[in-house]
Amino acid sequence: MNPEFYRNLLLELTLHRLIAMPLILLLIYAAAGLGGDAGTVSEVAWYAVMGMLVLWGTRLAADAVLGEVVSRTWDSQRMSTIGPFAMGWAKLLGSTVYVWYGAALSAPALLYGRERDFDDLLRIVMVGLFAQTVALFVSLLVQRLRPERLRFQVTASQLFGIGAAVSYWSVLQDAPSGLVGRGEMSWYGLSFPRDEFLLASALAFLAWGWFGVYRLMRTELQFRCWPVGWTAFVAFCGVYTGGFQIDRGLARTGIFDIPSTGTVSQLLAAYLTVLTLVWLAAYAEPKGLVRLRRWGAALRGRDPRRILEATPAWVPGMLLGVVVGIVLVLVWSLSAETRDVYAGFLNMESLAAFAVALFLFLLRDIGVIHFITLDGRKRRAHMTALVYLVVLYVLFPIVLATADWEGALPAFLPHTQGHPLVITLPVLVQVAIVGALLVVRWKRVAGAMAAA
Amino acid sequence: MDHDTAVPDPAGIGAGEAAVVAVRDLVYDYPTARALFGVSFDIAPGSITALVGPNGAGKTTLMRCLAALETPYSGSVTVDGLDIEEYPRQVHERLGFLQDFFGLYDDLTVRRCLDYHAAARSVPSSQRRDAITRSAQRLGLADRLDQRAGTLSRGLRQRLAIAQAIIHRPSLLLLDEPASGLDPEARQELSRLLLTLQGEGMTLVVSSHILAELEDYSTHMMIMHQGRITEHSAIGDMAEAAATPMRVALAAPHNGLRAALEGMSGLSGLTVDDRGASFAFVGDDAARADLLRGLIEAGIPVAAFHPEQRSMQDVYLDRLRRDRTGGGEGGS
Repeated sequence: MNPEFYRNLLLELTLHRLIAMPLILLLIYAAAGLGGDAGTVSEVAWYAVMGMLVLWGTRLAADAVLGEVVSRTWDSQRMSTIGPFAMGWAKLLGSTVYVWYGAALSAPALLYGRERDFDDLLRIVMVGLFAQTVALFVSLLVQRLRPERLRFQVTASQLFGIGAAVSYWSVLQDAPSGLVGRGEMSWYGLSFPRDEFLLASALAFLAWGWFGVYRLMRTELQFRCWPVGWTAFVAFCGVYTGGFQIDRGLARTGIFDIPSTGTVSQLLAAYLTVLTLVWLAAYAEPKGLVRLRRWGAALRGRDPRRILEATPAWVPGMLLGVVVGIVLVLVWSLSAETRDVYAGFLNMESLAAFAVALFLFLLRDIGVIHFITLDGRKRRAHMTALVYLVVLYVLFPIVLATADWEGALPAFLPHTQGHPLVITLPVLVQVAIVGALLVVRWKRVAGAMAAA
Repeated sequence: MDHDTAVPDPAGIGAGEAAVVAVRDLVYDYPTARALFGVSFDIAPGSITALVGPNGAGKTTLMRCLAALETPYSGSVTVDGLDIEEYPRQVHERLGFLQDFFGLYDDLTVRRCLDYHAAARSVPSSQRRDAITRSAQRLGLADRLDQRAGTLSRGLRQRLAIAQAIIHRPSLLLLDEPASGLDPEARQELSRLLLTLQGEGMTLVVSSHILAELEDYSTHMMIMHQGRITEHSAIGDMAEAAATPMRVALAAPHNGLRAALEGMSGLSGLTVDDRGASFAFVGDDAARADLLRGLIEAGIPVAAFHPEQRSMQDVYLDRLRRDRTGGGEGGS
């Protein structure tokens, strides 16, 4: 048996806990049954299982690695011969085995009275797995950033897991805006049975979640890692979201039948998805002078393998974004009919300028994040960067709007209206300023390090 | 990059004998400062290397790089010929590492802790029981196998951590402050254990601030200072290469002692008193014989002439003073 999974079984499934769980659950369901009917029991069981798998399970999953770090046992696990795949699943399922035990015991109560069926049970299992996977994934991400207060990071990872569960549940329950008919989904103009499509989507994202845990575990266990996995995920998300129309209203306007119009809509969705994921990668990845210098040294050495190992994950994603952006602008520009239709629909004078502005905002944000995290001295640098970005994206626009200076808004928010220069120039100036500041700081930090 | 590259010191490795650890131009950077400056060295098989240096010298960082727990900025580390970046798992199979600050699974018994580490280090299940018994006996934990780790005293926790580190019989054992928390008797037992492990062919690198203890079992000493290896050689060689402190004791006071000694070569740091003189002398046995002959021919009533005993700590402090005054030999 996987030694890490076995260790978790020993710690989680003690005799006392094995006896306590069914006793407590029995009391809860007995109370529900006596106070209500079979439907009440089923409803209480639903909430109990959700609570155990999502609220409690995410906590356990988030603590699976961070708890080891706090207890100073993680390095000895990193030095074991357990591989990243085995370590990943052992952590995910081993740390949460007790809540799964409780969920399994609750299954008869959930199905009692036939208010809920096996499909509901399957959905809950998938939501629980996804939430715990996300919590473990986020905990591995924050561990790489070497934060100061790890216990707080457990809570943060848990919250991400819970948030993921809510989103995932909505995917499993409700159709997104691409619903074209009762019981059907439209994806790239093709019609799919709604339930099967959503289930396949949920399974695909669950698989990506596991793959993400595996990749981060590889990094933790000192295996060489290339940013291929992340880039593949970005591409997948771009292709996935690109399959949906931007708005269901589009179908009603009759535009939906025009293939080239659908292409612009799909490319725009893919472009926005890719840029968002690049932003997230740039924010969540370990950074600093040392890593950038290592990347620079690899580039100078021209060893492709070293370059791939040292390249930040956001870089290939950004290149992908550039490609999608260029295709988007070309498709937009080459079809006058499409342009006219979209100009009215999206209220855009220039989608090209908007696309360029989005990219420039991304560049500016990456510059700001690197500027603040460059010297690695500030333990809360990532939070500081986030605060500054909130100031740029929220506070400044509010102040400008309040002062009736809407004309300056394109400097702080991607804008769809106005002359292309008005949309792009202010953010281009910011990119130049942040770039210059980054260079100055680089020289200062590198100089200080050389002198140390 | 400001690598301090130098020819690695073979450190007693015989011809045709492969180093267990080979480090070349190792550079490690923290976000705020460089911790290792182009460090290069070899560790001979079957040796016990004492890694010493002041706080902040880079010892722990070096240990973590050797243990394949950190990715260096540049340079290479091989263990048993395996590059730590290429084959981290295979390297981990071959080494054991006790960190300065470590944790234990407090809710597991000593037996379970050892069993977990054995399984996690790929010890076959058929051999695990023997491995647990052997490690527990070596560390004096045989009668505590069913006790929970969380109930052990600090010294016993230290012993359990060492037992965990050696349970898979690694070819290289890295110990960072292994005697911390151990009482004198347990320290003596630890010294004996390390010599036993060495006798079984294991290579050890031990970092400690307790130099008197390192002296009991170390075959080599590696001194680190400000991220560089300033000295690495067999302990005997080190003592021989250094200027040896000598003492001349007189049968009766003699006014000509200072003049006689000052006229001789190879002396430094001369201090004279009524009962004799102390000085540092660089030279082999023949040179010492010449010095003694010269004193006797000068009519000095020599009652005794002998080297003053120098501990490992004396050698270390000498080197450290030399490094701090800029007289170091550079990184090796």
